[in-house]
Amino acid sequence: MRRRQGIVEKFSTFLAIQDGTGYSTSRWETEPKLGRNIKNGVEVHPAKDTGLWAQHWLQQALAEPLKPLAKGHISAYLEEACYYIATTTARKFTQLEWRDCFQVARIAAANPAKLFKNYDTVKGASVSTYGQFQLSSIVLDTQISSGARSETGLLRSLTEKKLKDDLLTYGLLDPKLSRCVLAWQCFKEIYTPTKAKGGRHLEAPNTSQLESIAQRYSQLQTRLFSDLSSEPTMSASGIQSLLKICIEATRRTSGNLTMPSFDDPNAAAEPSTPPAFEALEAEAQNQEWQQIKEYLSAAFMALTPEEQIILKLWHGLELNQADIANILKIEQQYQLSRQIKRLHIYLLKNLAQWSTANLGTELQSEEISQKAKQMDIWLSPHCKEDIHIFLQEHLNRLTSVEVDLVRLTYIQELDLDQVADRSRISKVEVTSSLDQVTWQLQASLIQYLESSWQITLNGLSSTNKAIANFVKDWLTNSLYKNFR
Amino acid sequence: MFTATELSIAFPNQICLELSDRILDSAWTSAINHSNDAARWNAYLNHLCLSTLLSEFQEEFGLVVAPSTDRANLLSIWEFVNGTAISLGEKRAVIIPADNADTEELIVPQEWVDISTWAASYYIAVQVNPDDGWLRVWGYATHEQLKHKGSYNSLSRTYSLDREDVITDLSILQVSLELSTDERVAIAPLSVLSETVATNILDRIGQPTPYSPRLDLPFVQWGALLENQSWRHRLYSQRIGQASTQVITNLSQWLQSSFDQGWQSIESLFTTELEFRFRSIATDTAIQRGKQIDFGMLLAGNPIALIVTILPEIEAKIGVILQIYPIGIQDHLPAGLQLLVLDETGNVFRESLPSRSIDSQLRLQFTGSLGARFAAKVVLGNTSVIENFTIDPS
Repeated sequence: MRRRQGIVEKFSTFLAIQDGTGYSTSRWETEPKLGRNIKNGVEVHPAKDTGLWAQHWLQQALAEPLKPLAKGHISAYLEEACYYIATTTARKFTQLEWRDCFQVARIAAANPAKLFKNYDTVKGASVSTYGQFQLSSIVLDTQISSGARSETGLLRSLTEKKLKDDLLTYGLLDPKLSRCVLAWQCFKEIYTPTKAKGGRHLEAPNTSQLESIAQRYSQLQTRLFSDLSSEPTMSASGIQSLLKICIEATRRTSGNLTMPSFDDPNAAAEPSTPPAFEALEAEAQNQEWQQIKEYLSAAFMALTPEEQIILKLWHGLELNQADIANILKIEQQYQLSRQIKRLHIYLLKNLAQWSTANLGTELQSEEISQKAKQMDIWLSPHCKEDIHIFLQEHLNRLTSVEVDLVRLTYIQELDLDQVADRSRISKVEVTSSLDQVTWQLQASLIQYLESSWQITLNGLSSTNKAIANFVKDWLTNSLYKNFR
Repeated sequence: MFTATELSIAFPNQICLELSDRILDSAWTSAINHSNDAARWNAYLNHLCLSTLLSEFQEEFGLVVAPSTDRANLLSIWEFVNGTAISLGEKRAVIIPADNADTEELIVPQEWVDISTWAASYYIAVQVNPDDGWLRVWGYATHEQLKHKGSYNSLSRTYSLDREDVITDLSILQVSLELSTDERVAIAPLSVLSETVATNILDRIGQPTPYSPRLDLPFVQWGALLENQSWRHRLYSQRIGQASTQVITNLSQWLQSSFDQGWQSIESLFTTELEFRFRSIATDTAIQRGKQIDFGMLLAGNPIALIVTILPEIEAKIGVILQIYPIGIQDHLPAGLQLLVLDETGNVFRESLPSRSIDSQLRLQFTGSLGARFAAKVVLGNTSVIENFTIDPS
């Protein structure tokens, strides 16, 4: 997938996926209304960068959740994050389909008010970093219990909130909405599995069970509707048809991949609020966040060298725990996972206590949770830092031809044809010298890690693969940032 | 489908545990003393959490972790409300299981929030998935969060907290257990009920219903009733007693290999390898099934079962053998157990001697004609459990 270029494209395009037999292709397609809107904005403020625009649209989307354009810009902006999370999640858990993951992520990205609900409490996080954190946990949360269910099993598996969301998306209004929810609540109160297992494929309630549910409905509806004269007398078949609507609404909302659309007639009338970039820039320079980063770096440095290496192998190089245990000669993998947890808790506890003393933060769960999110956002880039610096420096050792190829491919992001054309060599030669570069980077990275971290990587194939992924990821996702 | 191990990789800051078929079966069989399916399912989910999570929390948090009350109290709570109170060191928490596929919200019954002796600092959200064989502690919330950020649903009398506000990283709970003060906030007082009022209410809601009576009276009254241990136990046994007399096991159906819920094969009943103690009296034509008899806390750690063997005889008669066996790790019965057989009118027509601590079984044998009705009564001290039978081929 090609990375998007420029602010206009990033805030107005969505990934369109075409299916071929056994493969699929994707390209970026512009949503016209969003395109016009962001183009106008960029003409007025040509010097503002992507991060600031993201902050601006998010602020708009949160302030007035009904503004479809601001929302649209944010969901377009998060499209790459959705794609990245979907593919990496599906690669890690092979029982998942990346498309299902992508769909879930996209639906979540289209609702910034929910996705970024507590964003303001986590000072210092960029829109894309925070969005990615939230999206990847949403994808996993929804996918772990996915899989086939009978209609009744599906009904029982919902939370009330999910059901209400689905019914609203389905277009249901009161009083019908309330009737559906009440019928479902009575159903859930009475009808449960009668075996230790088998809730997924639960059979539909029989007539006498439906009658109990209807009776319960009649008892409880007096609390819900002030005017009972307009309410129907509830029967078993009445319950059945209300539950049918619930099932249909839930099935409908988990449909196929579709491009978001902005055909809302109100969209054109939306007044454009002038961006308050100065305030946003000031926010980005957040003092507190700088202090926290400094404190955490110092706390990290105070860990023993072995403890630092454990965290760097885990969050930085992203090796799996079995490999790390092997490299560090830790006998049991669970000992390592406990050790990692212990280090997290140690850092978090210190950060919480430091924040109380220096920032006046309270020591209750919610405040500690905010600090934990900041720490999570800080930890992974911090653990990657020396590896990135090493790779950057290593580029200097390449030949000038190689440097050109890297620049054209990864920084200017040209495709293979264009690279071959510009550098006047064949495509085969381009590919083979880029392979050579990647291989060299991997080999010297291994050498560097072994000598400076004083470890032996043992040449495990999974470790080598993780290092190859790390290098590739750095070339495609990090390198260009340092040259722009 | 995900395994518990894969879940632990996906959620490194949460607790994911495997639920083997054995754990599921044993939780299911111990959740029999309830008046309706919904209460039984509720007790089952709570039992699964309690039986797996205590030791896990203890290891994870390095604290002494224990249930806040005994088994008899737990059963009388699970009959009405979802949730299990535990102590985490000095602090109090309530485990809130749910079998939902999504985690869009944490739903806590009002009882755990607005009854002052029930309220806790922490509410621990557990997603239980018996079909896929795992449970996941996906987060927690504080009393303060529920009261201030949560939304109160007056129809279901629950507090719910959005997924976005639930704290999904359990290392935060660990830090909070160490550093935070009590995270409970003030709550409004409940009604003061007189014994007369309480008795009136108990009469009214003591009839079994297919759902919990928790919504059937104003919360201030219901809360006061539930908080009082002796009223709660009275309500519980009223509903159970009336419900259980309605269950009659038809032994004729056993001849067609059709068995009611709760009656298990002998192999699945004995959860330990001590099953060999059970000297089978089986012949080719005999049919054998057993059911755990629940005496609550009286027999904690020493479960027993009623085993029924039927032998079809000539002239439309059936030979019936009733036995009481220990099915836990003990190979002897507790002392003082007695087995009685009652006829249709409730009169005793067979009875065993009370067990001594060296006895490994109680046994009664008789022949029943078609159409006969009888009951097996197991007595221990002041408590008894009754199972009703009929031999009805129609």
